[in-house]
Amino acid sequence: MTSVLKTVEKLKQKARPEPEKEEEKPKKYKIPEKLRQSAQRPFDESAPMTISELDAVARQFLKCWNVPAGARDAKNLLVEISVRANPDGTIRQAQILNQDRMRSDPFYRTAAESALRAVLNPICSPLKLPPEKYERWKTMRLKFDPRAMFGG
Amino acid sequence: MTTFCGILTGVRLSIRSLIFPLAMAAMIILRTHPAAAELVIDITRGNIDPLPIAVTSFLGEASREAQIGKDISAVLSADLERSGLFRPIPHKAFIQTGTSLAVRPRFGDWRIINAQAMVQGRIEIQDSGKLRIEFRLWDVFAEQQMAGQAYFTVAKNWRRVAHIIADVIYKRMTGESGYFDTRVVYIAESGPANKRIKRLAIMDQDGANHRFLTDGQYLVLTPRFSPTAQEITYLSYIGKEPRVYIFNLDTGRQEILGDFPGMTYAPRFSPDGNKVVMSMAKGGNSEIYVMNLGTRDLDRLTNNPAIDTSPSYSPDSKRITFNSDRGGTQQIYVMDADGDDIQRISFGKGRYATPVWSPRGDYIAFTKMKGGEFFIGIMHPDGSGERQLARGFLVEGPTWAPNGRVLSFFKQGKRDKKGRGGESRLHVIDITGHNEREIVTPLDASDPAWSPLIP
Repeated sequence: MTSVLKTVEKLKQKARPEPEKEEEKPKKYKIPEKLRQSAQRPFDESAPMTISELDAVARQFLKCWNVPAGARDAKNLLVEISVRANPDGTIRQAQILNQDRMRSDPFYRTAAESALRAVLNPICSPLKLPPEKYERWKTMRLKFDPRAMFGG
Repeated sequence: MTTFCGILTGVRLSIRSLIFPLAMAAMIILRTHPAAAELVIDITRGNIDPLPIAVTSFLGEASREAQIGKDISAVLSADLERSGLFRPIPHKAFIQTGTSLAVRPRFGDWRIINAQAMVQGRIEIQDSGKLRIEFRLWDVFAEQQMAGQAYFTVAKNWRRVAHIIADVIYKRMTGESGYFDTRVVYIAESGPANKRIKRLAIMDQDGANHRFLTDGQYLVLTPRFSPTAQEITYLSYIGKEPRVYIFNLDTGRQEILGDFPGMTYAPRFSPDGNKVVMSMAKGGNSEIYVMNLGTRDLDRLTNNPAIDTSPSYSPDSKRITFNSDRGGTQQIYVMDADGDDIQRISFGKGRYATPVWSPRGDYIAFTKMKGGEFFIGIMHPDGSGERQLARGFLVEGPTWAPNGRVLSFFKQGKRDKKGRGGESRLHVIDITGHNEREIVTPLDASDPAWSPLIP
């Protein structure tokens, strides 16, 4: 009896198509030791993110933010992405803010999509952020502004 | 002191046993702390590397369908690569195979080879003998379809469909219109320097489908496309004097644009295709005229003893840029389309010639001569932002691709004492000054003119 059941189940598994997109749901999370140690340090409200910590993240994006060159209005292509991060620095959720402009402005859409791709790019994952300050960067807004790159 | 320690230890012990220890406690603390603001990080530098894209061979069941599929993806891939904005990933790096891709993309397989976008397609030869070509463009990281289209055409049009798909992908990814479904008309040159044979020739922008339009018996110069892309205007020396002609690409017929009492040069169509602006030399004085193609009325726009030539319309037809030496040396001027309000816009050292207004309206390209060298440059229509894009012993005659982002021009090398060298070739370059490439032509080439997008 049990062997028939087993075969039936195996077939079922094969037949089920691969899930299209993995739902990002909070998983049962095994805390890495480093994280466990820093988590035991009390949350230091007075310890803001330091400039060098923020710079480290900005520098990470050099490799994975592929900026569309020669766009018509490089001064006006500031894109804001709202991000929810996991404690290990991987991205849980990312969203382009100001989606209305994407419908009316194809250059803005290009810039916004390239910023979102940068956030989702495996090369920039995980983000190099201090685990003990997770509460500070758990949600954040990344502002992508290509102005400086085009002498603007 | 002891009491305090005791409390602390007590808290620690209970925290250890929870899954979300400090985080929970901290969140509560955070919520009651009004000053906790959202973290903002400014990202101001990325890279302008070409975007890695995977262009898979379009699938087909029958072998002929599969072959067309391979050919289309090769042409499409080459277009995207040539633009300098995309880097097609070599097929041998692909992990997901065609048959599995035909069912559904496995985005992890494409993410792992660093493809940011992926193109797949399918070819079907229908019962009628016609081709059905379908493609999809995928955003690999977001796992979403960005574009998808199906086309129906006769098999011999497969190249055009490849270029049309390249334009769709280019526009979807960059926001800019593409320029791949276009042709370039130019002067093919052969023979020794003192007995040059010049023939009108046309080809696809990637060099394919090349054919000669004239036989070289008469000298032909400065070909230009009409906005409908079906007619070319050019200068020919049939008879002793240069005359402006119109050549119809569909019928192959050529007719003279008008029998003017003087030499006519440098003709260009207006953006609506109804007028031709040109310079005409009468009695040693060269002025700019515009002819209405319907009425054949001729209007004079400039009135000055200097040489005024090389006119080019702005894309909104409201203004014309041209070349004049009324200020003492060859410089670039802009005026209203009726000849009013003439303003000089070039002020740098050297001589400026062949101004051409970009189809985007934001730049005027030109040839510049300075210190014995030639340059191709661009500047804004008010004269600001002058930039050099290319330089050489002889580089001349810029022409804009229809998206106003890419330019073609011709480049001639220096002949050595034995008369060797001196080849003339067509080049393309981006307005950022990058990605200069040569277009391969069967003979020497000069005077390129880029067509609009083929309707």
